[in-house]
Amino acid sequence: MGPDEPELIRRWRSGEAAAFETLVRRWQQPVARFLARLLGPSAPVADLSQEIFLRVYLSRDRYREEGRFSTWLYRIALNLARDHIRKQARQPIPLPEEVPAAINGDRAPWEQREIQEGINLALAQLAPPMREVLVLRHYQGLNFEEMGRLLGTPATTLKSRFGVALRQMHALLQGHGWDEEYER
Amino acid sequence: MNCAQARDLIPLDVYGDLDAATAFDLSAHLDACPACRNDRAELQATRTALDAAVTPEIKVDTAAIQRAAIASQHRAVRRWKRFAIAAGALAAGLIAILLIRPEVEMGGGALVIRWGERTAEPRRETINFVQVPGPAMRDVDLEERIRILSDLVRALRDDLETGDRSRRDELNVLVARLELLRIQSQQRWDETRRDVKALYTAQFGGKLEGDRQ
Repeated sequence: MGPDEPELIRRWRSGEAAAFETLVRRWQQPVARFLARLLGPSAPVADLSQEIFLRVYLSRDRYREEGRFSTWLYRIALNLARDHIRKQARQPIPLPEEVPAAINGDRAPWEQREIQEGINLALAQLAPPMREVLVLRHYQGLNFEEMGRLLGTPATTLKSRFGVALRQMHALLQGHGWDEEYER
Repeated sequence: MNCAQARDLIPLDVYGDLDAATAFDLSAHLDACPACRNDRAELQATRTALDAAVTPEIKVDTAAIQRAAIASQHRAVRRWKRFAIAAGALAAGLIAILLIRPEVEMGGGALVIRWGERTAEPRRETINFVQVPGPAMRDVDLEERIRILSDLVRALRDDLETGDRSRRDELNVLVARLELLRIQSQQRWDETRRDVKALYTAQFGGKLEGDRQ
């Protein structure tokens, strides 16, 4: 168990390189997961993560203690992800030629891969606001108050949006061959 | 609680985001409503399915970040240096303008920038060219004047012959002097023409314009 986060952040802000290293190791996978879910598997997640932590490093003096570090970090990641989406919007999005086949109860490696592809495809089909709220709640574990601070949207609005997003996700997975057998 | 209310709450219940009292009410509705219970089971399965997504393994290179940060800081310093130089030059220019207080005038197709104390208008030197009468002027003017004057004197003489014989001799003398003056003038004029002709020939080697000889 490493040092607690406020202490780690205090050391990082005072210029201790080891503290920054520890913060990066602690947060690099959540950030990568966040980017991968928001942008899809073909996104250059490693490069974007590198860019995010560079921005964190350069913004050390601008960090304020009022909010949680994770909220601040995800705001940087979200801005970068949105920039990336805007740039990619000018280019055609490559979609799989075939929709993944129905998933049976026996989960062989190839079946597991199909499940993953189906989830990635369904996530990509969600509208960006829906995707953001679903990813932040499901994969990043943020509560709605934290999301409200991050996105600048009231928590009640985000709760409604999350319900819609989860139901859309369910419909999309079914459309991609989601099987009741797998659900059980 | 009815099904519409339950439908809004089920996604939050799946993720444990309801307070205890609301969760209890929803649970009571689900116990009595197979449709809503099935709806909750589907969304719970969707949540489970989402966990199947793979997270790419990455490793952020912190050494590269520090190198990039140093390079970025160097770029920022260079930008500030350039900005400081430009600002300094601008400030110096403004100070110079304040000190010398130039006056700018536009108009008449000209841009005039003037600085320093305004000086008096430059004194315009007037050069008077003395026009020496040329040969043609000389012929017409002097000869004509003498002739007119002679005619006038003769007219006076003729007029006085009848009235004042005593002054006739004096007038004759005056006529003679005028005649002498005319002759002398003609002689000087002839000499001047010869001199001008000689000078022209020596200088340009040709005949003087108007000289018919």
